[in-house]
Amino acid sequence: MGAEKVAFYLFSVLTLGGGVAILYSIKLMRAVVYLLTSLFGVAGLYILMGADFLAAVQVLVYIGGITVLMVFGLMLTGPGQFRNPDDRRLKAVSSGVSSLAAAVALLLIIRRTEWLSAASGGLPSEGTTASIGHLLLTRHVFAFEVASILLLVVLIGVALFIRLARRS
Amino acid sequence: MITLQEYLTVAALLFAVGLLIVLYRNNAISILMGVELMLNAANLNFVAFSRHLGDMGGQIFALFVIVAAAAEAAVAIAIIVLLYQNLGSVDVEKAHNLNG
Repeated sequence: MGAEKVAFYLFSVLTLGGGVAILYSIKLMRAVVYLLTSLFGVAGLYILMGADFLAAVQVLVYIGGITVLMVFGLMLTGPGQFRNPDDRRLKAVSSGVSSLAAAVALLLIIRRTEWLSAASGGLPSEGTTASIGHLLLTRHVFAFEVASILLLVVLIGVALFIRLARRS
Repeated sequence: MITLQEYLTVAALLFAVGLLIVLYRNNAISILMGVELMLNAANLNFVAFSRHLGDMGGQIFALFVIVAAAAEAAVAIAIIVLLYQNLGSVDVEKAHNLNG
């Protein structure tokens, strides 16, 4: 077993184990930490797939941004919300069955489909940052601008949202 | 060399775990975490196909998904905080004012 395989299994266990730990954690602050591990595992998988720029964005935006936002949300919703409430048995069984069915269906699709054979050497070998930057400003420039407008709208919208709610 | 199917399997399992969290948990912040896991699973698929087909388009798409996820998380946290101020709780089972 090569080093790549070992790293793949390590990051997969980190990713999936973090997700399962969120499911089982009673204290929500710990669940945020498990989410962080899971996102870190995904960043590791990105690196294994040769997407180094995306892995850096994952660490910066998800681990540095979204988990901190979740901690803020947790703090602002009071001490009573740090724990998950007790769940009903029926809900546990029905959600377990439906997500298990989804997992089985997806795994069957992955196994049964005959995928196209891998193309060789389409991706740049010396880091993807330059080609992503080039593509963003040439072929995908419209989507790039729309994304920046979306972020601006969210920034203003959330501030306005909180302000108006506080006044009423 | 790790095959496409192995990456897709990890992503499918991650999606199922996220779905389970969304369905099982009552707490709105936990549900938001489940949604983030599902978005990450989709991103893993995009990047795996990008590597498999030798096309950068998948990575660009994953980048835009991350942007949308960040925007969504900010709006969702604002809604959850307002829900807490109005309801005194972030339990989604209690937010049933619009039930007919």
